[in-house]
Amino acid sequence: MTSYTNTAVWINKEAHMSEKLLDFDRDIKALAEKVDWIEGEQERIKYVISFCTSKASS
Amino acid sequence: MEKHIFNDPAALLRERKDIITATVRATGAKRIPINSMSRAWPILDAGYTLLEAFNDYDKNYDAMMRFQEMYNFDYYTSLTRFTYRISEALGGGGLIVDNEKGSINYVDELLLYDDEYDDFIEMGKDKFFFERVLPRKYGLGKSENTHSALELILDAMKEQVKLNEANAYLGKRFTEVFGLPRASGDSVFYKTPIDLIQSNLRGLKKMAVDMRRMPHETLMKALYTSDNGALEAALKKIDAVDIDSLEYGFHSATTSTTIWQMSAKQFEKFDLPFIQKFYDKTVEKNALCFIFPEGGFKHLTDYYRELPAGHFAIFAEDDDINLLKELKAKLPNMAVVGGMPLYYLGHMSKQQCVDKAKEVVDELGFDGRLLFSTNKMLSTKNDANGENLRAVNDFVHEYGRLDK
Repeated sequence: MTSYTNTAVWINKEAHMSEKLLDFDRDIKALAEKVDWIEGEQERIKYVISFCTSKASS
Repeated sequence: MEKHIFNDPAALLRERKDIITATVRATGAKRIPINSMSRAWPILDAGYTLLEAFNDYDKNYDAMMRFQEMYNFDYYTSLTRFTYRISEALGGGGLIVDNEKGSINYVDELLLYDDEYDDFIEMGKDKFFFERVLPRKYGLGKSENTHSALELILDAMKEQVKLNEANAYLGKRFTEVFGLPRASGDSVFYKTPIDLIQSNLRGLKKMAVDMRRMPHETLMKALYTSDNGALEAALKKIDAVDIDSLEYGFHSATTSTTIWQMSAKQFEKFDLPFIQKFYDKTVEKNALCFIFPEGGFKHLTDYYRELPAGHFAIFAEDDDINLLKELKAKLPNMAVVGGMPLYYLGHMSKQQCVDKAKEVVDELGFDGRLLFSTNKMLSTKNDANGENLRAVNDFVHEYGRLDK
């Protein structure tokens, strides 16, 4: 299991969940920053969106 | 049972490509191709439990390689691979695995609530799925999860990378070792938006009500939201496909058009605006398409018979030879995939299975428009006796020669 301590979004779990669990505009970017196996910021964002959408619908 | 020997995979690949193409185009195939319609059965037949293979891609690989070595299919509509580890990384959800019984059940979930269609349309698919569907489907944020939702998603993405690598390797080895062309999801795959909403968001019952009661304009907007550019992407993929390459088998489309799900009128209203473009592009590109209608489609034969000849093969789940003969007569423009009742393989003697396979070939195969297949997926252990399956496939490889 991966663990993160270096991003406000990841640390501030309680506050995060008290608003809404996931926020598209904020969290996709945070996830994309961690996708180090894909080159390029835009490509990483596309990858994360595509993954999340496909997992929600499969 | 002894393994089949595949001495010349390159020659086999050419032969398999030729017979699939010639069958769909009705241009005189040398023999009847045998389609594998399998899911979890190869894992169980290899002696693994489902969870052993789901959790260890080497075991899944071993099971799939053994499956082909034992039963010698000509192509696969899908290679057996399960996204279990990805679901688990996300916290579980979507499927229930009974490891002891060797069975898998998919949950018919309500993930788009009755009053959320407007939100879905307004937010768009990606945002709606991320903020609402993903947490609901996998229970993200459950108190027992010790990791944040983002940590779970990132771990799941890493699992996806591993699965993609395992899939790519399996597909490559299937071509290199056995001379099997790629088919279905390995090339281009398109699922219509109404099928997506029904199978992934609303469930059968709710979708049936939506189609009858929801304002047409709202449902159409929801369908375009659900499609989310997938049709355009699929059309581009068809454009990019090299149909002459040996590895290209055909691509596929799935529609939920069973009689009790969608009437002909509903099909025209909700499915046709999307799927017609996919079929048009298939014809324009002179490509081949496997149509998986997820159930009966007799009420749509008037539509299907209008599709140009030489591009389509349709999967038929009927197990009655007379019904299949009738269907083939109504659809002279396409090949039919099916014929062999799965029930035989699990419950009848080897001789009875071979007799049935002979009947299928005699009655349906000699016009060169049959892709021999079981009429249902091989899923649970009792679906088939391995010796019966072996006897049937070996028989069809020989008796199904059309160049005698």
